[in-house]
Amino acid sequence: MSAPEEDRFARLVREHSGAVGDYLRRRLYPLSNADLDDLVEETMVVVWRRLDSVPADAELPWMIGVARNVLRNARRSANRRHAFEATLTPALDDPAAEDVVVADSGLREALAALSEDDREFILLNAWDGLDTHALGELYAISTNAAAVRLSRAQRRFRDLLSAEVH
Amino acid sequence: MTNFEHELVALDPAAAQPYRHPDLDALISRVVASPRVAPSRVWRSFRFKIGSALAASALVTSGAVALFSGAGPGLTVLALAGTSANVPRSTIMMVPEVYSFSAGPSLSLATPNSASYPLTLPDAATEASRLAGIFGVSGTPVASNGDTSWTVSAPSGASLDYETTGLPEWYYSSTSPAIAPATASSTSLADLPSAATLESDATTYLNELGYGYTVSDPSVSTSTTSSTAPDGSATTIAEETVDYQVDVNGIGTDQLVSFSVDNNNDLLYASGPAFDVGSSVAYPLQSPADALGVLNAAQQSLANEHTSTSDVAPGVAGSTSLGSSTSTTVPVEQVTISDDTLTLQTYVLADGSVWMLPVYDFTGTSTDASGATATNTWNELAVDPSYVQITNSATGGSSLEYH
Repeated sequence: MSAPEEDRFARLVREHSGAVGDYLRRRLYPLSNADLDDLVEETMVVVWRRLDSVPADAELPWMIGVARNVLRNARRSANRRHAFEATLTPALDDPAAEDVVVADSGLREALAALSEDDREFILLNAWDGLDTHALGELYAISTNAAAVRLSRAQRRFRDLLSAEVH
Repeated sequence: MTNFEHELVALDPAAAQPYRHPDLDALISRVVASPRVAPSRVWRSFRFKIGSALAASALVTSGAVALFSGAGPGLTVLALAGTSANVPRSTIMMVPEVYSFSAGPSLSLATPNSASYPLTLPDAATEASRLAGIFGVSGTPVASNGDTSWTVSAPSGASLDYETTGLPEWYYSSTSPAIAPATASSTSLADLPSAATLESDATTYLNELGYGYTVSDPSVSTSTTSSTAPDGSATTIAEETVDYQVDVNGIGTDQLVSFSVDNNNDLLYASGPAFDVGSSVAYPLQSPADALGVLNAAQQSLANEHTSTSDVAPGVAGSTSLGSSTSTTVPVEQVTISDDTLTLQTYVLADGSVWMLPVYDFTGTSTDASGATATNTWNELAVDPSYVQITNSATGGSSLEYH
């Protein structure tokens, strides 16, 4: 274990833990802060173990990819732990999910009408700030392909929104 | 940023509470104290509260796993690597609600006939080269991402990308990077070619592509995108797009082919699936009513998940019950199904083969506790469940993905 590795890991954590936490919160909302901290740490454990694999030009999308897998595994693990989780309570300061999510039913319904792929592309771009290069890294496709898919998804979303209005 | 992007950002559930870990130094210290090389699957106990996301994930497997024993002679059980077909498409984010479906008077009583289709996928490098020729991109295919992506790039900046993950898709763009609209060639929608011209040119391309599928239901749309350069100068660009639904044997699928042009009628970008249709297989179908029963059973599982975890957001009103045996505090929305349409949707089987399988698209109107109504679509696999097995991939496949 060398100092440069620790330094790089510490920098990754300081620079990207906020974005990783936001990504997780957006897809599993509401979460208590402690629960969210646990998932972020799980992500960072994987980042540390696979530090040599983190591409220098795509650190955040790579870490978002790890967070996606952590989320999937967490859901499966939680599915087997009903009794334990039945004791959990939401954080007192968490607003009700619907207060946040159902703020605009037109947008929500337009998003829901999209295919899962289109919706995830749009939200990763609009919420998580991933550009087409980062989306390409995350999905292991070329930047061009990611750009076309994003553009296509955005156009369908605009069409759906337009249909909602009229 | 366009208006809709502003609206999306305003919806961001994390915007009000940007995440900040309370003690990054402690986190870093804990993690770097652990070995770099460790078993690949060591997960600590999770303490997070199950949300609707988890319940919906469970719904996928609990509602769709079926028996092997029902498969008849000559038909192999379809081992699906995962499906989201029976996840209500209206469920987004963590809205804690379940649905109780009932058949409206117009629901089909008869079981329709539709075959299932294994798809034949072309050799990636060869197909990328062929497609590049069709779109006038000269160059040699270059593989990346472990040979799952193939790119042909021309000196002009045009490129043809061919992606082989799942059902192969091709993407053409006139510039690189292809941040559409690709060229600042127009500032007015009025300058764009007619829909008839666009469709005629698209038909020419489709004939050249020569895949074993047909297209229907062209949808032409125009759009403008405004952007501001770092120097403050603004550019508005217009484009026109035609989307076609991909059909197999006359039945609509979940696939699209798209072509976009600028005001010079130059192709900006295009995309679509690459496959030919194999010999049909006559898997028996369940009736629409039976499929609706599967959907209801899945919702019952969802309600049970909520009940077992006491996972109800505070302040939710409208408690009721779903079914006769289970009481729950989860709000249930009543849905009357008004239409069912048989479609074909893409599935990747556990063995990696790709199929088009018949799926019911149910359209219905839901009414929540406040009396508000909304029209949505729910999907359910039409293939008789005794011929289907859902498998969960060890790496967390799409079956457990939830949005």
